[in-house]
Amino acid sequence: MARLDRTRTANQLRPFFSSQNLLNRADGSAQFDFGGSSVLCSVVGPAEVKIRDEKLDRATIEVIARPLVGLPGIKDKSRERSIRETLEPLILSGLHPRTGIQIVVQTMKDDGCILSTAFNATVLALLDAGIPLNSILGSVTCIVDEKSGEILLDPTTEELSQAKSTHVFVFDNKSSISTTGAAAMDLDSESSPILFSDSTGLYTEEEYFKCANICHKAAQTVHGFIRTAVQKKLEKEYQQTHA
Amino acid sequence: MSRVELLSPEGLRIDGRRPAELRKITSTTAVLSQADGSAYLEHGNTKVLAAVYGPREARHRALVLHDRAIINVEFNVAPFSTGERRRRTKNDKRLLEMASFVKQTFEPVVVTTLYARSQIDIYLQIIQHDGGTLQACINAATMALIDAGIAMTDYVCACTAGWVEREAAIDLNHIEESSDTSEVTVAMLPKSGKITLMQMESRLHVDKLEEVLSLAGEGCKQMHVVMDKTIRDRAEDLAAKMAV
Amino acid sequence: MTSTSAAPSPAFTFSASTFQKLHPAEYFRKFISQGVRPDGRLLTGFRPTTVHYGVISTANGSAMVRVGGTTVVCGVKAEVAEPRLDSPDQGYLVPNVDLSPICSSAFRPGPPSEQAQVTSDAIDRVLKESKVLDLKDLCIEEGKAVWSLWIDVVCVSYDGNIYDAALASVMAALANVRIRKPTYDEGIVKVSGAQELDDDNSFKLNLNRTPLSASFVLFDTSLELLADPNFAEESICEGQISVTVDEEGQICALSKVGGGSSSPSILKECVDRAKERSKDLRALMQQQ
Repeated sequence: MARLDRTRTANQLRPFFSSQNLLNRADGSAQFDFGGSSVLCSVVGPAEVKIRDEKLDRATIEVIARPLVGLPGIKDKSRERSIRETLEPLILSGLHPRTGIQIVVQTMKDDGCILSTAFNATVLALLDAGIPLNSILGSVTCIVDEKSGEILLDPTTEELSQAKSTHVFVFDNKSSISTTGAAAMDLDSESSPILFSDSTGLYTEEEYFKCANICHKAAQTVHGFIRTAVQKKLEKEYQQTHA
Repeated sequence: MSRVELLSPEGLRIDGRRPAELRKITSTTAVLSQADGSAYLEHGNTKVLAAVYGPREARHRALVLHDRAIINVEFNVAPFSTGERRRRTKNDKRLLEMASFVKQTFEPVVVTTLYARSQIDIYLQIIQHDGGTLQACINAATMALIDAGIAMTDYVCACTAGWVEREAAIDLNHIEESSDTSEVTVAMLPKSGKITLMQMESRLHVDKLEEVLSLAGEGCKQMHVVMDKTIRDRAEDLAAKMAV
Repeated sequence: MTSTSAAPSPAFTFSASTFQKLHPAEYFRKFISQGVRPDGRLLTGFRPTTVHYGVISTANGSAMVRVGGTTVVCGVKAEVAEPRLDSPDQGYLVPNVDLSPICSSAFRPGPPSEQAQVTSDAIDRVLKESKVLDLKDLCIEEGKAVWSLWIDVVCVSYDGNIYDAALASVMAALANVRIRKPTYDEGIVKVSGAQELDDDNSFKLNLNRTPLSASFVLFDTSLELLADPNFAEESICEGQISVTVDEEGQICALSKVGGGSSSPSILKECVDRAKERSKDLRALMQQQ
């Protein structure tokens, strides 16, 4: 069935766009776009941290999320907590004890899936800042449509308003896709360990795990894109310094 | 609009009580697992929860006193506690004023010199408001302090009193408070009979003052009996458990 | 050359409570390895729960829920408000969770903590996106007046797992709500002043479903799953999983945050346990 924007199939993501090293005063920065949604992320760190927030054996990670319009509210606090808790095990904070890493995530354009866009922008910004990570992550959102019951990847704001349930997933790139189709639905096979999941609405267990599998495959594309983006940036930097 | 009759011809108040009668009081201590001491008090429909944390390290080093503890009181009014929902911020002037009354009431009674350089926090949560919140908070705070094992020279028992139409009455409810009656809150130390807080915002003729005050004193003594019974019952209960 | 004949004495011996303060994770591990937790529960055990209805007479509906040492009181107040222009026949549901210093020494006075805001947001999303209540039921006069339900959850004692307790109290309080039937007359909403509320002068809310939740934490890098964490367990564990289900077994919310990657089988286990827990909890709430 054709989707509302008539250009994509159910399993297609919107075109990506990313840009790194945009901000002069931050140690690292990146912008990531999922179609019409765009999030800018800046990373400052490892830097000094207030004594009361200092941790003796690791870096203190702080995330600030700013909305598109208005003052930050409870949804932004929720986003902050999601990003911080997901990134904490990924960042090798033990290498920078008693310091702080401050991540600021600013929504620039909103056409749905802001949390996923923010996750992807954060990872690019952390790489740009040179913060050591033990893996990268990739995030996608999918919905179950109210009328058709179809699973649609990377929904726009309009599609989100007609969703029966919304699912945000984050996967790291330590695991690989299982090649056999049967194992894709096999829950025991450890094929797609989930780093972060936030699903709301009304849905069954089967729908949830189906969405997880579809999003896992899509997240591989995001991982590939991040790899390519960083590669291109490094090539350009190398050329500029060795020209 | 017809005026509500606060005192019937037979001398009964709007809720059927006699003028010198307190509302039904329910009190329990040690209701919260996290606080060092806690108490829950009901004066009729006014429900108040008090939690005491301390003596513990002071939050702001600058405020620490070298020879005694500082007492910090905070009010939290639940939005659903009053007739119409009102979101009271922490810095509401009225709440800050009530908090400072409670603080001044307890400062001379708590033996703060035993706990130098520390802080005693008293948190008062108003769950339901039907008049007489200050008196209920002071009474609940007393029981919570005792439950926390903080040394005090005496109980602090509080009671409101006022002039309702033709007579002096104690323990005014919300309807009586909001109509044109004068109301005074008195906090007393029952052993010595000394008054540690007297607060009034309305007008009262000086001729009636003595009667109202002595009635309030009677009310405080009645409160003391109730509070003492609750504390002793709990202590006996604990002693019995520890003896096993 | 001397030879030591005495057996080496232990370097340090601690009492159990000292050991807990010095090495909280090690102390915990000693229990978990035996399949129990310091408070005596099994890894999958939930703490004793009680629900009381109608505790606040000034509120339209109220409930108090105790889960172990965590006690929350929820009050629902209905106020008349103007509807939004783009949804003129829909009322409002405004949940708010308050975690103040009274409930635990872990909370400082000041603006709402992150935990309070995150819990408020989670409850808000369950109420809206699982369509617990049809907001059109709250309409008084289309375009002019609707009911706005202020749902305030006050925590009086905090011992971990605020989300489960808060959500249960919200559902119980909503089931307890009675609102006086209004009449709309030229811009003024009138309700009867009768003291006793019965089915003629008031109405109860028609809830489409009652989602209830079960929360878990992950200990030791996602290897051990603990149900219904208390405060000590929350502080040393890394990941949190919450599953909210309704009476038909449909999932209304599933959240997994922190603690590294988890296999889908762990999530499936959480969903199964949540379904059991919500059945038990529903039976408990029915008894009142």
